[in-house]
Amino acid sequence: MRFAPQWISLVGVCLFIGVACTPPYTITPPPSFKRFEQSRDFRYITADGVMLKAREVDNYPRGELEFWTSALKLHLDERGYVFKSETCFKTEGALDGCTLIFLLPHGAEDWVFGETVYVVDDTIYLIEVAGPFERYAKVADELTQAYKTFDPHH
Amino acid sequence: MIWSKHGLAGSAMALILLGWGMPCPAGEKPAQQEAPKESAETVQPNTHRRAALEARLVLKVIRVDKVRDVLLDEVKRLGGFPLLIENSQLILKVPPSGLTPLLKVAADQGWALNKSFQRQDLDLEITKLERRIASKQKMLDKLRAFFDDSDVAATLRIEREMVSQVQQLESLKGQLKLLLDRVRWARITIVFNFQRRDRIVDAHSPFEWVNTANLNQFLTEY
Repeated sequence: MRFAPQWISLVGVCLFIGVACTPPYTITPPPSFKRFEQSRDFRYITADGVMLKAREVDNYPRGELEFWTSALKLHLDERGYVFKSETCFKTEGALDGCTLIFLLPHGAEDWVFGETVYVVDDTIYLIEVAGPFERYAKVADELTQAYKTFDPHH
Repeated sequence: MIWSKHGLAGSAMALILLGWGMPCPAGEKPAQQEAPKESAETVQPNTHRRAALEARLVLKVIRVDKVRDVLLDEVKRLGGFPLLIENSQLILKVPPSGLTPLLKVAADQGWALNKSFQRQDLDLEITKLERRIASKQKMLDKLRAFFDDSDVAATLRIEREMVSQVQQLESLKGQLKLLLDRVRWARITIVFNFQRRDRIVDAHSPFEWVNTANLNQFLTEY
């Protein structure tokens, strides 16, 4: 059985798109969050508007987890964000991660802004969450559990 | 005007005494006026310093009404009382020994942020006021003694001065009461929302991606 070249190309494109459309990590989303299906990125939201997303940045200049969490904490502190907590943990796959939680006034409300940082070789993975305090507080425990399920593909 | 012998002497004595009791502008008080005629035992240093305690915190909670009730119950249990109850804040007064337990209970109710604690030593200020009050009281007692030997004119003059002295004495007592009240009750302000809305400012990190980690960018890119 022979495949026409155009079929091979199509399968190739599909495979490429499939790979390209898959984030280079997996994470079990918290149960209260639903995914934005139209986005290729990891973007989830609760019914009352707490937003969760993930992104990657270059680990440049190359630094360890402690270095980047310190830099982030210092920077947001300088900006006037109120530091609430830093929680460092190990994922189920034994990867080190740290979650920084800040509070800040946003409009008439007080919002939570959280950054969870993982450092894997040349890449820094960031899981960011934001939402009004009262709504965030309801899902805080779910998020903590979800952060532990993060697993980079490498 | 001719004063009787006793009247003149009484008035003169009264004026000398009054001179001691007159308040001086701050920073100009001569050393001998600081503590007039004090015996050695009255200047013994206090081993227990009297201080005013104040604490303030931003407390983020989900149910403000529920937490407010918990805190008010705790204040009552500690022997204190609320000074102000609002939806957005509480101002509470408790005995100084109750300050730490109350802060702990508050912190257990939610996220305790922006904590500040202030201890102001009022011992010197209180001691000065106490001495001035004692001094004025003695002076009034002495002035009263002159009534017996004074004529009408001198009596009126002494009485006028005594009224003035009593007013000053009451004012000092009021100041002392205020300070002693601050020592007796620690004051705690608990606010449930940030009160300064303009606290977020621009700052630049030398690390490019760190500059992208903030709420505005998050919302823009979401």
